[in-house]
Amino acid sequence: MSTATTKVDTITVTINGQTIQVPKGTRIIQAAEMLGIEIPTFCYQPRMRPNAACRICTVEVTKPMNKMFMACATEMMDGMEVLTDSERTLKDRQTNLDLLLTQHPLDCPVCDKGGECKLQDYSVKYGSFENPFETKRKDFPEDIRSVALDFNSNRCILCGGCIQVCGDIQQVDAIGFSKRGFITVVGAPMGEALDCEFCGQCMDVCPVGAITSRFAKYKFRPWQEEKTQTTCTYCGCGCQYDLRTVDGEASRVTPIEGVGPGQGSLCVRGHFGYHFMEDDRRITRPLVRRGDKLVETTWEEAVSEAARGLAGAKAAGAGRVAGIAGGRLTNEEQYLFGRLVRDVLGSSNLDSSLRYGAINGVTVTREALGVTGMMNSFDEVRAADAVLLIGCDITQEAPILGLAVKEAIHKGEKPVLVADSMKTEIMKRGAGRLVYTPGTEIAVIKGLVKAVVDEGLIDEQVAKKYPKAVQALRSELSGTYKEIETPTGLKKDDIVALAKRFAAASKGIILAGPRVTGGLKGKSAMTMLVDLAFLTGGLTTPGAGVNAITMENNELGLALNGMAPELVPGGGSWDDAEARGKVATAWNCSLPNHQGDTMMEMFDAMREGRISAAIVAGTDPVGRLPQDAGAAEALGALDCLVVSDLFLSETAKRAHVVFPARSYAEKDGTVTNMEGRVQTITSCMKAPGKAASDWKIVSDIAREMGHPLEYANPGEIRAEAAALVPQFADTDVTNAARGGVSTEALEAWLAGGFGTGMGERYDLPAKLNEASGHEMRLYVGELLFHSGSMSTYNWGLMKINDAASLQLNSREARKLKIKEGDRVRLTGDRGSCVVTAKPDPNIMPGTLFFPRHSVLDDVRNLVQVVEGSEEEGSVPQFRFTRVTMEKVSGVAEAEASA
Amino acid sequence: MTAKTEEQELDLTRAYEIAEEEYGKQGPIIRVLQKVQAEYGYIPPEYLPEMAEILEVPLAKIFGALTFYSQFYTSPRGKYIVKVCVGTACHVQGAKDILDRMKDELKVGAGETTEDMMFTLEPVACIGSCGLAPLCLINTETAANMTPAGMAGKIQAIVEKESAGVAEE
Repeated sequence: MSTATTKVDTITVTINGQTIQVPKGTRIIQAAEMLGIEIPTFCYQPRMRPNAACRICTVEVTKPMNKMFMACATEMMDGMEVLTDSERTLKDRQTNLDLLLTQHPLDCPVCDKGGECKLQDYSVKYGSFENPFETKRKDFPEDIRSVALDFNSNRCILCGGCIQVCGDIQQVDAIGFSKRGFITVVGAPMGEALDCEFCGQCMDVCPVGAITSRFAKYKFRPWQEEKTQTTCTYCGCGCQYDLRTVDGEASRVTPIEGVGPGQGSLCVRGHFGYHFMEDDRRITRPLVRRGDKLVETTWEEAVSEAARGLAGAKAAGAGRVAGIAGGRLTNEEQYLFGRLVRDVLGSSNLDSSLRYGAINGVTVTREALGVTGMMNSFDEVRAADAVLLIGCDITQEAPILGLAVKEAIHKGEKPVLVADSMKTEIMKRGAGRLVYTPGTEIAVIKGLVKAVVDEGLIDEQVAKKYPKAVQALRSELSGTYKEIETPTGLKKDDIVALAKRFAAASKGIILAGPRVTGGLKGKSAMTMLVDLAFLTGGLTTPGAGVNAITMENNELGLALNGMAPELVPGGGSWDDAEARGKVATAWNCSLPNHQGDTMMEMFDAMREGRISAAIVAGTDPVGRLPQDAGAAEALGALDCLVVSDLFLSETAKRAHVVFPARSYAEKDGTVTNMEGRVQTITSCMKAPGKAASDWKIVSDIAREMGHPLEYANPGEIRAEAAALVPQFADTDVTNAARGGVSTEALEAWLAGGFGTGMGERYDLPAKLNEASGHEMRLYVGELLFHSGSMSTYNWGLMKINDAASLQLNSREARKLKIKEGDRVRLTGDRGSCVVTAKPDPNIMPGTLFFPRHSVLDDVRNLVQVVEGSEEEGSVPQFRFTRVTMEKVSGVAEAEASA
Repeated sequence: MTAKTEEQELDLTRAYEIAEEEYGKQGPIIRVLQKVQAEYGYIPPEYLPEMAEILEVPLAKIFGALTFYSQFYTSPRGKYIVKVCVGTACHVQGAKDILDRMKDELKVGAGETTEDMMFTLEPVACIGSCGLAPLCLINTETAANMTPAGMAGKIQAIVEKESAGVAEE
């Protein structure tokens, strides 16, 4: 169905004497909003179908009939006339309020909602002060058993909004009504304590104080709060919200309806992860190394020591300095950091957390299609005909994009097809599923492309227009399914069935997760997905496309700022002399001639003494990578390591100079979400001690080195950066479509990308799923509750979930007589450790899952790092490893190992 | 101890089958609950999570329906459900005396079940046959124009029949 060609019928309606033309199907409450007329409502949520439960929105319709109608649920007719302030309307409204107040307690002085409560506001505005009805109060004890949300059923007006948002938007259905009539209550089923995703959306839609946040309870009154719109910095979604503060202290986070990528939805991290800024463990003063210790010092001393160390290495030879940046930095900070390394320090050894993130996803779409970031917007995902997720546990890794996918399922019964190595949440809702052996994404994707080619599923237009490219692909895929079935454990028929369902959709969207982009041969795997999109018309149909999700907040900023040796600011390639020349001209400097080292190469060079100084900002390579990557030894071998961070990270512990950095709530700037929206973060809290923005730190070091990079504010940096990165010219929180791929870009890629290098793309690695004496496959991955950088410093989030337990297949656990809470020993080629087990039916047999955020480094350190080749983006594979698992029998032994 | 073991060992196979039979059909919740209650006499709460899994409907919705309707019970009930109508017509004809006599006779309160799991006493608002007031029901059998003594006799007859049955075994 194409909405562009369908003529939208409009009707003419009149509300309170004002006439307006509205699209057919508009409900009274929507038309009133267009006219700026307020109709009170408790249960109506613009994002959801009308619930029509609270009845407070009842208004008088005078034409074509005279009758009272619910404004939220009544679709208007042509010529309809409505009065929202007639005597009859006001009388009904007042009676409604009177009836609610027969039950609602008048505990406003101790209710967190007081001051922003709809019932309170409407009572003042429309209520009477002489309630003619008999009062009958409820007397339920408050349910304070859940870790984050408190339920006060006495205040509940039973509008059902919370149940609806939980069912329709979050699609978790964690709460419902129980009982009937006067004693109806809202809560978790079976009378148990609420244990859910704790997105907090039920609390957001509650018009009264029936659901409140445990973390914010009694800590604020709404009128004391200052409200600052900012961008959530936990994941690549980049949701907009209001960070509320009382006297400079964070009181809570509230969503903004209809704004930003989430359109008013937040996840548990966004909602409740606002405590890390005020954590005692923050670094507040600069530290310098004196022998084994890091001691506090003055800012000037730290700057001078850092500058001396970096300058010394620079003087000893070009390329003896390295820089590593992270997605915690704003666009402006990343840009300036890049300029410090390449211009001031004259080194091309610049890399970033992109290397252990989604660099393969970002570079493939850019090189092939000229698109940096996602091809599709979240809105396009919501409107897709089919979504194919590969190696992407979206509800955990990008929760709000996950909601967009859920919305696609909910609204249109659209097929959501999921291929993953475990039964993910979204897979259970999906229409088609492939559960493959962990680590074999490349083979699964090859299988899907092969199925499209073999089964005649190629888009007709594509086949007609680009026969040469199609033929090139066909000849690459002439092999049998055997090489795919064996490592993946999938059946040909299942692969073909999934491919068929995806190819049948006209607007199909592919979402690739970290197990694709960071997996073995990740760049090839991502390129194959581009092939898959191409063959199924995904590159030539508006609203369709192929996307890699980025998980770090400003990961895309790193790509746009060229924070990798193979990139330059603007996202262009280092190889491109013109792009490089543009940067040199803008900075009025000469850039180093050769392409610099990638992170893993840097580590080698550090160990071998070829790099002797480094600056690391906003990321923690030692803490992020397994021991096997050798980051600790490499960074520890440096003569000078300068680190800026909020906390004394594993990397900072090895530094010679540590600068206290500011959190997103204490600085201004912009960040780029995975769609490519450049969104603003706004300072609203006081930075602790001497903590400074990273751009300030860079600027101070540069000045000390006699190469000033002076700016009054981040806006000035952005203005400079925008000359190289045009995306930074506009900050954009609208939900514009991404525009897709230009025909020129597509044809240029087909001409180039299919001529060379195709052969290797479709060669499967020989060692795929090869047992190495250890029979279990361990995957270390992300949880919804924790991203692992800042999230673990939130006492609130840690209270909600600090589970660092090993998930294993429940049937297998039964066979091995392992129960929840039992201790098991994992042994791999890189050592062994003991962890707590947690059987889970969603984990596949032979597979183990351990959350990455956990402070239990031991498990992460079991992972053997597979260094990626240059052709594959030099991305280290460090999510999988093979281990042997055995139950630890005695308590003594368990304690001894712990 | 033994009671607990029995509870744990309650065989829910048939209940799972019922849910599987209804899977995919429209609005299955109430139908499944009714069928399971017909089979087991009540809805074992431990069955609900599995029922939600099988039907692929949220547990919260099932629990909502279960607790909304007074027809569903979540604890075991007696072999004989003794319903005493206390609706307007029956009340006028002396239903209260019948209910009181039943409480004495069975030594339970309203809505409770005898220890031997034989009888559950249940006052109901109206059975819809006011012409036969005062009216009682023992399972599906109607007892019209009842008196306290008449009901006591019926209960006594059942007790005798049941103990004879046990003796035979």
